[in-house]
Amino acid sequence: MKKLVFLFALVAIIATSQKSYAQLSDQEYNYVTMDLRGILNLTMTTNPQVDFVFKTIQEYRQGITRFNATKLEVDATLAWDLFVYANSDSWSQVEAYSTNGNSYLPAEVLEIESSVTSTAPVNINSFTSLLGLTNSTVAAGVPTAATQFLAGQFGTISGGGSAFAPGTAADNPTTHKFRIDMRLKPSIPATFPNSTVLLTANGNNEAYAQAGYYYLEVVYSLVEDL
Amino acid sequence: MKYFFLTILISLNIFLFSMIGTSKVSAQTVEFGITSLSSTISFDFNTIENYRTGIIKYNAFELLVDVTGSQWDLYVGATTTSTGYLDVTSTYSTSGVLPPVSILQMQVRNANNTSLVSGFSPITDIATPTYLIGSAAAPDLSVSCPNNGTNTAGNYLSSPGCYKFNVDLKINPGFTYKSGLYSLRIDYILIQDL
Repeated sequence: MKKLVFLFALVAIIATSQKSYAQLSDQEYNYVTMDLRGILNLTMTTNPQVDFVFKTIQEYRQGITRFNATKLEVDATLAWDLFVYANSDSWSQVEAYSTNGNSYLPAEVLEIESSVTSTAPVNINSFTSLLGLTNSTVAAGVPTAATQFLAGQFGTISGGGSAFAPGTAADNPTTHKFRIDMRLKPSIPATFPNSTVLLTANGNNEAYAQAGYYYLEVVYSLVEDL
Repeated sequence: MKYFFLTILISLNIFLFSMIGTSKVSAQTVEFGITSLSSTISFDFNTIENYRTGIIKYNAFELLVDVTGSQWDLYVGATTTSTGYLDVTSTYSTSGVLPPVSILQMQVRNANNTSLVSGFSPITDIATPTYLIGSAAAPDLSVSCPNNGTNTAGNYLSSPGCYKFNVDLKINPGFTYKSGLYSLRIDYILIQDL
């Protein structure tokens, strides 16, 4: 009889205790996806063509400097590097105005400097010869430690290199806006004494430039931290 | 005497079981509906402008509440594999940090502004949810429609101004997070306020 009473009492306790689990609820779910694309925008806000016309002795002797010749703006959502190189080893001659002189002008006769200080070992923080394609060591668009960097440097941050932080030019004018100054100083005769490569480098022994019309393509390359 | 005692106990148990049975068919229900154009809302950041100003999805979801015979609470939170951070489907870069769930901001509103949280606020993990109606303490004071914090029984058909909620979502990532594809689940919990 005692066992029976205990059993009924137990059932009664369980039955009453179940009421505490009777809180009703309902649930709904939604799913949200977020796609953060990697964006690198390099914008040249100035005319892409910079002209140097040497028509006076004074200009030959003193050279011509174009301050703010090129302005660049970077908008990036990734850590980034910016480097520069000439797309050839030498200037292309379009037309010659004389029969004497050397038609081979190495890319290095052009001097450039950037308004933004770079910590890369090879940089253009002050007027420096622009490296030609071979000397820049850029191969298929990929730089090396010997390439001239305007921002960041060869090697990832995690690998001991450096890079500039993501952001926009509008919000970070001191680091994401670049003013590039350019200078050509032929001298008389036009040997371009500031160039790190001589005009005679291609085997032509004439040490001064042939009068003529030349052009050179300068490449600015914005890449994810390399 | 034995049979008398036994009869009393049996009667008591029959009574208790009948009580349980009737509680299931009592008039207390909490029902919850949700509608949206899609069960998944996608935020695609593919321009610098998107990154700078963010993306807002107005009326991303609609919550429909139908409660009978009881006060109720409504809370929301995010469920992810790694608590506090979005689930990573894939990443596109090595730089940057993983985004926290708080990157997603939510605004829950209805015609009578009954939600206790006004404006956009960052979503939290479901372990520390955000109460839109009521609170973790129970029971809360009874608040009737159309007052702020309405938690009395009602339904979205008869009183849409208090029981139908529109959910707006906003993400303003900025430039510190790692590029990639991420996801999270938002949990909406409607529960009897006991």
